[in-house]
Formats: sequence, structure tokens, C-alpha cells
Amino acid sequence: MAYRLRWKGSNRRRVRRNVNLSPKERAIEIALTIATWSSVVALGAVFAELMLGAIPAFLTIDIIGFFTGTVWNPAHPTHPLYGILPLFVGTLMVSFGAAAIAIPIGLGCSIWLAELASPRIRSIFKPAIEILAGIPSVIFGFFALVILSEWISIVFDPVTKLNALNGAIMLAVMMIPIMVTVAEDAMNSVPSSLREASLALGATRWETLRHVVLPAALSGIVAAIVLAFGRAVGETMTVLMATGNAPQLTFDFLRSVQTMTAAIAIDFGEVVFGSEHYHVLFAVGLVLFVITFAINFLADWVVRRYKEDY
Amino acid sequence: MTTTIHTEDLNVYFERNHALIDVTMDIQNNQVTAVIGPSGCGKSTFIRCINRMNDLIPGCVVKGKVLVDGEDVNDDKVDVVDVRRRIGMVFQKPNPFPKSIYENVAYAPRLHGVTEVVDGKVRRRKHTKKELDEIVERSLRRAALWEEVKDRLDKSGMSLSGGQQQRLCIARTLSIDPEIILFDEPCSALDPIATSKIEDLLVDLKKDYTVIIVTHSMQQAARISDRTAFFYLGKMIEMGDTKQIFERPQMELTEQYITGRMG
Repeated sequence: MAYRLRWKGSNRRRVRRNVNLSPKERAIEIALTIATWSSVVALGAVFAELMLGAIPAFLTIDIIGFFTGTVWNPAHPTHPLYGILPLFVGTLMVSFGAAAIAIPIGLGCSIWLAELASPRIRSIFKPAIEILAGIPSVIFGFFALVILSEWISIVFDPVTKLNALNGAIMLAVMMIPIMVTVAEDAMNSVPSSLREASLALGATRWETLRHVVLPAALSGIVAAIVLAFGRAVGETMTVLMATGNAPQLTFDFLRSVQTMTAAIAIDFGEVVFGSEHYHVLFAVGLVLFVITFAINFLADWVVRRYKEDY
Repeated sequence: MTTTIHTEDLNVYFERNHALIDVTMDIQNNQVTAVIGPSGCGKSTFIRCINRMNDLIPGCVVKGKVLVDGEDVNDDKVDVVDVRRRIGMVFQKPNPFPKSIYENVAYAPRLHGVTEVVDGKVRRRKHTKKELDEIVERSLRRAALWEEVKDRLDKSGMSLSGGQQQRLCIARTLSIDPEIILFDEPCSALDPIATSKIEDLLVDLKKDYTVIIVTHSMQQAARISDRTAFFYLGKMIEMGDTKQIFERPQMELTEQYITGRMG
């Protein structure tokens, strides 16, 4: 029987391929390759569109003013101001505020589910939390608008009822299920033989968790945080409904803010196609893209730096 | 010979399944005691009672007494963490932590620290770097692994071969200087050469420790143990000097098992 085999791939990492694939096997290979490429191409197309849309903005407006300007007033008939800082700070306040609430709670919840809960309890809680992750964001926004803002007014007596805190809390509620789903899976997949080894050495449950389980699950936990944070930064509908949408530069959580996403969503409905304002919104989108990109890179670095393979 | 471990009417239940039935036996100091029997006979369940590892299994109930140096470690009031510091365990599959070789051995001493008495007061402090280095070297030497790894202590424990990993796990257990070491089929995932190294080590370890080994290999029990206990269907059928068990078994079941007619 004569098998014809050939070497494929680059010189450094050769994979020996079987060339006698049946048509079915080959079709599956091609289909999978197409699936991969189409998602990469889609991402590239979105990024290209964003760049092309943003370039005219950078040609006409003052770039330094765009990044350092403290006033966002693009609709002014004669002197529009395109300072992104109020939106940038608004986005960071809401998303970091949400992360500050969601990360401890989400981590605690995943640890409890993975390490302490009985299998029966876990089989009830885990799907319930996963359902929470699938609720449309407009519903969370509605809740923030109508109920959460009332509670905040009662407790904090804020200047404006719709404010950054309102958005941050609501976003935290949306982040937690994503975090718990991914982080709990990561901790669950740490082999129980490692836990046993640690406990058999006389380590306590907490010591085992802290020094064996968490380091081994680190990449999954970081992925969980990044995924949740990415959602918080990119979330539009909820913050649009919750934060009051006043593009003012403030660091007060009890005041209204507008996030970059909300600004794009609101302004795009009214902007003149092809105008300066139109292109500036693309530039804002580009900044948003760069932020999420940077977070992903940072997470990747953290994982590579501290990862423990098992 | 003094008795280290004495179990009395030990019963284990996994929900409805009665896994260990009325086990009463003595295990002597500074000997290798082998526990043999067919799969599912309760031999692993038995040794996991001694360091309370069965606590980790949901729905598992352990009834009866496990006296270690006269103290019942199966009592609810006993701190299980203390028990496990005195009774080490090596598992069937080598399970080094995904950490460096050094960190694998230093792991437990680092957590436990040093307890010392200063001016009549008991104090706990951290190990110095030098003390930790000494513990790591001593444990690795004792586990006959030092010469093979001394130049790459910072490499991952997972990078070692199966037999080396198992000796690393033994070194890790020795690092807490236990009184008793439990081996749960430590060679079943190893090749013959690695197995013989571990067997030599076990025989050597009994000078300083009490060794209990569960094994499915009768040859292994015959080679290394002083006393052997035969388990069948959750009951301890017979226990005696290894030589006697293999040459003149008293019970019919034991004879059937060691002659290969059952099991």
C-alpha cells in the first residue's frame, strides 16, 4: 500500500499531513478553516471601517484637543468642542466602579461554588447564575432607571438621581454572572488530586485554595475578569439608561456622567452623515477599541507571567 | 515492637454502600505493613481512614476508632489538619504541584512554619531561607532524588519522569517529618525500574517511619513488607507476618487469593 505523504507548513514547525484524506474529512477541514478565517476577516473589517471613519476626524480637528479637551459639546452650531475626557472618565468610572464591586463578589461566589458548595447546591446555583448572564441589557437598564436609582436616592441623596454609581452597580450585577461562569469552570477543572495532595500535607482548606487551586486556575480567573470587564466597558444600553448622560468631567460617583458607548449610541441617531461630528464618533469608537485591546494584552501578560501549568 | 495504630470496629459507609466492615487491627512501629486484596475490597478506603482523607468524600461516614499512639484520630474533636501533619500520604498517581521542584518540597514547611518555645511561650515563625534549603535538600536526599535534580530545583515538578515525580511526592511528604506514611498503590503508574527504586526507598524509610502500603501486587507485598493484611469485600480476612501469610495462610480465602484462584 503506497501512502503519499508530504511536508506542509513552515520550515520551523512541520506537521506531517496525510494527503489521502477522504472527501468528507477534507470537506470538514475546509469548513473549519473557512469558519476561522471569516471571524478573523470580520474583526479586520470592523477595525478597518473604524480607522477609515476616524481618519477624517483626526485630519480636521485638533488631535491634542481631542484627547485633553474637558468639554464634549459636539452639537454646538458654531463652536463644537470635541474633548473626549468627560466621556473617557465617565467610561472608566462606571466600568472600574463596576469591577470594584463585581470582582470580589464574583470571585467569592465562584470560590464558594467550586470549593464549598455541595454538588446538589451547585447544580441549582450554577445554571441560575448562567441564566442571569443571558438577560438582555435593556432589562437591567430598565431596572436601574426605575428601581435602583430610587434606592440610591434614598441612601445617598445624590445631586442627580441617575448617576455613575447607578450605572456601576447595575454593570456589576451584569458582570458577576459572566465572571462566575468562567472562573468557576476554571477552578473546577483543577485536578482534585492536587487538592488532596495539599490537604494530605496538613494544609488547611484556605491554604490549599490560596496556594494550589487559585494559582492553577489563574489563567481562567483572569480570563473571567477580562471578559466581564470587556462587557462593562462596551456595555451601552444599560449605562445609557442608568447614568443620566450628562457629558461633564467629574469624579463624583453621585453625579451624572456619559460614557463613550452611550455618546456614540445617542449621537449617531442625529448626526449628519459625513460631518465632522460623524467622524469624531468613529474616533471615539477607535479609542474604545484600543482600551479593550489594551486590557486583553495586559491580561495575557499577567497569565503568562504567573501561570502554573498542570 | 510497639503498636502505633490500632483500629477498632472500623466501619465505612458510602451512602448505602457498606465499604468497610468491622476492621480491627494493629499496625506496628517502624515496619512496612502491606494491605492487599482484589479491587474494591476496601484497602484504599481503610488507609484513607487513618489520615481522615475520607472526610473529603461527600456522603462518606466513618464509624469506629482509629487510635494513633493511643489518640483516636477519628474523633470529631480532633483537628484533622493536625492529624494530617503527623500522618503523610503518597497517592496512586504522582501528583506534584504545578510549581518548581524546590517549591513542591518547601510547600508544607512554608505553610506550617516553625514552632518554638521562647521564654516558656510557644511561638510560631517563618522558616529562614537557610532552614528551608536544608529541609528541601534533606527531604530530596531521603527520597533518593537529590542527585538527579540538584541542578534544576527551579524547574517544574511536572517536567520530571513518572518515577521521579513519585519520589518528589515522597520527598514532599517527608518535608513535614510525619510519624506514619501511607502509600496508596504508589507504583501502579510506574515502570519496573522506577518501581524497584521506590520499593528500595520504602524499605529504607521504615528505619525512621511507620510505613503502610496498599498494593495490588502480591509480589510487591512479599518483597518489601514485614506484615501483610488481606482484605476481601470490605472485611479484613487475615493479618500476619508477610512470610506466614504467603507461605501458610490460615484462611481459605487468603490462600485462594494468593494462589491466584480468586481476585
